[in-house]
Amino acid sequence: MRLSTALAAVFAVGAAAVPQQSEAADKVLCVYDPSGSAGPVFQQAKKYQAAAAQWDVTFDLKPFTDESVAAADFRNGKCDAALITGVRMQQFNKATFSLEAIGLIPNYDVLERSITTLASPKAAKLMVNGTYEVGGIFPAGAVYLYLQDRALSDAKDLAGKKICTMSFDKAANSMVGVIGAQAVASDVSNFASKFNNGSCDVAYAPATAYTPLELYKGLGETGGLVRYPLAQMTLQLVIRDDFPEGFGQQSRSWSASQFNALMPSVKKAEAEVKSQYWVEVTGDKKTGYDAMLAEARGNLVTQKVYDPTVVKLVEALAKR
Amino acid sequence: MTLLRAALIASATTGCVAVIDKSTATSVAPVVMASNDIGLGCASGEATAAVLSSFGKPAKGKTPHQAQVLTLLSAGMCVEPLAWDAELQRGVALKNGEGARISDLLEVERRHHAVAAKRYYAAWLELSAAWSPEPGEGCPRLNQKQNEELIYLLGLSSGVLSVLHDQAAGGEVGVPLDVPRAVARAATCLDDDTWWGVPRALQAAVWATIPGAAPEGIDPKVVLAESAAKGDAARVRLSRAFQVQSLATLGDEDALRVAISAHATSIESPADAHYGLLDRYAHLLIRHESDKLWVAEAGHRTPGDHYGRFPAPPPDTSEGDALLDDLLGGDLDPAVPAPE
Repeated sequence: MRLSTALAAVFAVGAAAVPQQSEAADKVLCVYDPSGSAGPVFQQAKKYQAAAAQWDVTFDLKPFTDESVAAADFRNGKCDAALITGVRMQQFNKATFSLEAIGLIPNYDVLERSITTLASPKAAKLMVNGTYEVGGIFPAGAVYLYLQDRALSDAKDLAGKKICTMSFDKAANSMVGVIGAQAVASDVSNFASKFNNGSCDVAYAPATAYTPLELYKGLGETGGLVRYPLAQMTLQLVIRDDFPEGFGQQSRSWSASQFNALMPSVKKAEAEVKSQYWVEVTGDKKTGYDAMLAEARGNLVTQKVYDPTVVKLVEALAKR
Repeated sequence: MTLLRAALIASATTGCVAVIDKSTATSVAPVVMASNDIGLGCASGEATAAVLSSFGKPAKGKTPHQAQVLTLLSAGMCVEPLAWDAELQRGVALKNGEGARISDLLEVERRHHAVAAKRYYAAWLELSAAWSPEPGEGCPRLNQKQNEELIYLLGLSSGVLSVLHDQAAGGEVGVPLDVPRAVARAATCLDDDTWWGVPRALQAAVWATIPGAAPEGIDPKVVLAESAAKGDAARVRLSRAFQVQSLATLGDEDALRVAISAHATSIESPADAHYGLLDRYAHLLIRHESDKLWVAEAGHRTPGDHYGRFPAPPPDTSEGDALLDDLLGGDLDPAVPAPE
């Protein structure tokens, strides 16, 4: 009768005179996860909450399924910290936002070294922007092109094609311009249905979207995923400047240490993609993508969308 | 359990898994469903799940799939409260500033979630094997005289629960993340009025948490509220539980409190005697969400005589509000208490 015992315990503890405490959790961490508190990002936030408790900071976790609301609530002071995707970090820290620069990070090894480097005390200055400080960066998977027609796997083939493009993602919209393709304004809630019903010829997303959003339905018999990381999606933690001295650095070090614990779920999602769908990019095709993305990235550095220091830093790390 | 034993013996001698399926659905399920003792139901499931899988021709996958949906779902119900308990203990530790315990309790919770996910996913796989086409790919012919719709409904619920628990377990079991969408499609195979609003509630719960899953123009929260009302009226309040769980998942705390209070009022009417188990399970699910709110705010679970009410927020320290608070006696919680 384990359950009966457990229920008895529930009532016993509930009725017991546990001293009532009036103070709320010290800080509120707003967490963006498309699946709310049931999703994997929120589970990661629970681990962070447990770690932070050992540094004497108690977080109350609040799930958000709309990232723009999570970011706005953080900006407006309703949250003391936020866990959001790197693309939304542009408003809080251009340096770490630039880690998601188009075509900047070619593989997970470079990503790990980039995150580790940015988590070092030497990079602390880059992590602070006014009243905002980056408290950690986590890998969320390489972004790939999803094609309705795998024959379009060459970069130059994309000219004139309809690409589901996140409206808030200035960099992606800029790249669509470089390609000469047509942007179909989309958001997280509708890009999959647009791709699956053929409203877009092309979409871009990490492999973690493949199964839950049933993107294989849009791929059908003829589609494919181009095995070329367009960018690296990351989750980034941003905090205000009212945390205890040294908290930000402690938080960044812990976050960087989680890299290897998080990668298996990313790689598992990539392994779930049917092998028939992967389109390998080598030789001239790879050169074509490299050139196209480098041009788009360069434009965005010139336009001061990306932070030139971080872009140079990561490019140097990639060459080592 | 005598009936189940008889069914098992009969089947063993005839080698016919259909006998077990039919006996379980028409004789065992009604008895189990009528009990409001989750412990008894889950213990029966734990005791019989392994035995059932040995009947028929296991090597060829011909086992009593329908019966196993019921037993594995029941077995999952044994572990779920253990995960809840660890989660609440973690909340209390967090509230009390016991930082060193929190990681350990999180791992305890995760392990229980993994076992629950494994059992619920096994129930889902049995559902997938029991009828053709597979859930989400079309509607099977369900023989209602043999209570097959109930088994189908329970199997769909198992599918959703398997994903939720596996996510909380860090994906240890590997439940495919397209199961919820399959559940949402398969739920249309059941009549919503017959099944207390649960089919639509299942759909809406999926729509609410998977980007782009909801049909154009449909607000999952509205559907969940309508389904919950339907379940309340039928006194099988599983839809209310799905609503409460979804609102908690979405972080809509105001709506969550309203839904829990509505449940507290609703349970003044006793459960439908035929489905006491499901109504009680719904109650435990909802009470867990209430407990989470109480633990976060007050540091302890919902007191038995406070179900449907919530601890007052921390007092505002501004002078004017403090004076007003003092003059009003400090009780800012308008909710009416309801009996446990």
